[in-house]
Amino acid sequence: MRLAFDIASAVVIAAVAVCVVLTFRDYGITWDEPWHWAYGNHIAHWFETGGADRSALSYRADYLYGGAFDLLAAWVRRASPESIPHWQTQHLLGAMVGVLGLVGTWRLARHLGGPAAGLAATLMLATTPVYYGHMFNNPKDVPFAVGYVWAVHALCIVAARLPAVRRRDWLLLSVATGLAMGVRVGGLLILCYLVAVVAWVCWQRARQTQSLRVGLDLGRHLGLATAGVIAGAWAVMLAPWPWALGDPLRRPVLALGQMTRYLLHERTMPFAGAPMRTTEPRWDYLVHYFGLKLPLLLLVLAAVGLGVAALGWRARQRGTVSWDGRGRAVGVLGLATLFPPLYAATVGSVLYDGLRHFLFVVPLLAVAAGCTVVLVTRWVAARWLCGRSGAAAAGTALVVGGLCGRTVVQMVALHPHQYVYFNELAGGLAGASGNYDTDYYGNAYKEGFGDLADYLWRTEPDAYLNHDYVLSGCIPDVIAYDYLKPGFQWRERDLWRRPPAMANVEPDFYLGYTRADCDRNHADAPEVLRVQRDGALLLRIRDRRSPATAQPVEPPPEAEPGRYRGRRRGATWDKPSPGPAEAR
Amino acid sequence: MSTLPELAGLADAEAHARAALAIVEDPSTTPSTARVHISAGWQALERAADDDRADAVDRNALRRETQRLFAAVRSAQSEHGETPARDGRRRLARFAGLAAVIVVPAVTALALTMPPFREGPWRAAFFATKDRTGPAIVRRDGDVRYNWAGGRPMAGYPKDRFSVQWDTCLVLPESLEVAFRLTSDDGARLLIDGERAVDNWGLHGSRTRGERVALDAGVHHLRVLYFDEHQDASIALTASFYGERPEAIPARLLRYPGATLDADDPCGAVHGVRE
Repeated sequence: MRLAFDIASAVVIAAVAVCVVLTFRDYGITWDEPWHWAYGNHIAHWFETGGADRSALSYRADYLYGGAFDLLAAWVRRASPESIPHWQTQHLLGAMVGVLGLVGTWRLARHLGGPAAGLAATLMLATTPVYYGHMFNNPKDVPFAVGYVWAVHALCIVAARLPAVRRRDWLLLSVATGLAMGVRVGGLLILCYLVAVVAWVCWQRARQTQSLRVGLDLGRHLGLATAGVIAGAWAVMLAPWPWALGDPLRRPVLALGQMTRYLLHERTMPFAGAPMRTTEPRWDYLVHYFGLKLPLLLLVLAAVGLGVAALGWRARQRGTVSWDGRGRAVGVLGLATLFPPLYAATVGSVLYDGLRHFLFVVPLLAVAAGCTVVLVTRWVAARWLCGRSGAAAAGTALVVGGLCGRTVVQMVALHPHQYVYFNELAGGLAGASGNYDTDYYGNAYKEGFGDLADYLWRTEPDAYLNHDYVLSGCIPDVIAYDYLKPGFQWRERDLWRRPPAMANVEPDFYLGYTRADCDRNHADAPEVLRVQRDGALLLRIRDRRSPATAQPVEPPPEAEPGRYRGRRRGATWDKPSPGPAEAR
Repeated sequence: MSTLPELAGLADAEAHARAALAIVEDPSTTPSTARVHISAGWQALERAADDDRADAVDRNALRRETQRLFAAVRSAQSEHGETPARDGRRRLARFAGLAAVIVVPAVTALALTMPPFREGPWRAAFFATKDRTGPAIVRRDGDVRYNWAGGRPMAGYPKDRFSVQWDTCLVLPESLEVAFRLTSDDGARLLIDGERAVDNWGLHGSRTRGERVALDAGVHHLRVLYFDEHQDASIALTASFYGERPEAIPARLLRYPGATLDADDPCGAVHGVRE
């Protein structure tokens, strides 16, 4: 039976990997990606030139991050065949790293709750839209989440085995923690957890033996191993981080300090229906986003699991239950899940872009939920089914599978914008639209560029054959150039960047996504097209040509219910009507 | 002056020591059961005395005893058909099996959806002059879509005043009206079977021109001529065969005309006329 659960888990992971391979070309370039792309190249150049090319040491704010993923991506892009566009290579790599996070989640849940918990956790993380959607084009938060879940997995093994830990477990912890820190220095938290766990074990031993000296001796013994882990993790973190290599002890700590006071993206964002500054987030910012962006099944099960773990901890505190290895490992899971968001809420950390900064907690929540599934199944079997665990397991599989299947249907409908998912508490994406950040990464632009070309070819084919269209919008120029079809030109936002021929050219179309109300610009120009999902606007396209030359435009589709609306992958357009187009 | 708990602890330790000794000396008992008392006795002594006596225990002796225990466990496992090597092999096999379940479908899907690794159907001749004169470098291209911006088309070529000629053979399974679209900076021209089909010639920035051309079923020679005068340089040829938005001409409809062209019948080899 254990093997059957493991095979089922592998099948789930394989299904996700196949979905990734079949769909990675659909995902757009997010506004964060070009910077990480360039930073990865700078790091590669730094190594290749023996440090002569110093671009990586001062590149934007990116030099404050390790290059574990960015450098790997730069090398993989170079090695990938010419027939695959390099952005697609990057997205495939990122998604495969995300799949590695599924494997880490499976192993952690299996370690804590057995193979059935492993299967449940894997299934629930795979059907968490916010994690799946970010896998393809988030070069920072997903790699960090993957490193974090593997490091917590290693720490749980170490905590369960203390004080007799195998060398390979110390090594796994050291490498996984170093890789997490090599993406985001905040991974240093894991080393703090390690020190806390070791101190806890020593204190427990001193209490059991009623001898402080025994505890201190154990601390001395474990301290050496802990120091080894810290040194190893530090070395792994430093290896792909040129700036930190310049002062290995001080600069990572400086970077951590900078990250905790990160003010580079100060702006106003919608939150719970009201504007809010990114630098002054409400204390319940994360409560809202965790509560609204995760599937309800995951949310409820994780909450129950963490609650049960807390009750178990209280029982142990009272001495009615003894601390064993698994108890310590569950404690590590609870600490690693709850401490970061509680700390951020307490100190009022700068937060924006929805849940993405705390994506690393999501795999751990899936682990908690997976373990809860097993607990609930056993409890139901014992309480109501006279110990018939087979019937309880079948019932649980039906409920969990059904609810996960429902989320899969929602993910298919959102494709390729799964990261904008909101659950039923928010009224779905439609309910969250305008009240919360939705398409904050600009993923919808890729679809918008394609749909606009389709629209023009369909509505004005003769003009399309003999005309160049000029576009403008809110995304970085480098992304727009990648999306441009032949016969389309991009009007750069900054005047000084524009080539002379484009200096005074007015754009024909404007593409605005919902971040920072970009879609509300040029409100006087008629809307001709929109990218939307679940009834919520992700991207609005306006025709800025003069009425004499512009195609006939209709009011926004939702303004006139009953009007014919074509639909292709969520885009809507109005049926062309006779008018100036024919006259022209 | 000792406290009452300390005295009680020492008595406890002594009791465990006596019990252990009794077991070891009694030939009718299993000697290993003495270990529980030895362990408990040391703990009691450590709690009660709180001095260095516990350190007097030889760690190496305990390690040797632990290793003997491991050996005994391995021996017992072996009698039940379990050996460390077999267990390791089993774990490795299970790991490999699960990894295969994950990796094989993904790699298969990737292989099936990758563009074919074959040489392109376009014969491209690059000239270092604006009017396609002088020596040329000939290579095979997959598509006519380049944006050199202000750069060189290839190493050793000038950034400005260069030209390119692309040739290929279009194999149409049926008669169609095809919409061709040529976007270029500077001039470009599409010739079909030697006739000018799309003319985007002249000095200009990025500009698009297109035409609908009725083509019979069979083989047609496509030639794209291009030159760059100065600054930015780019070209893209797209076509629509069945009413869809113009995109790159599918490679399955194109055949490579050969490295050397017959001026009278560039697609002769594709026709099967010229071997």
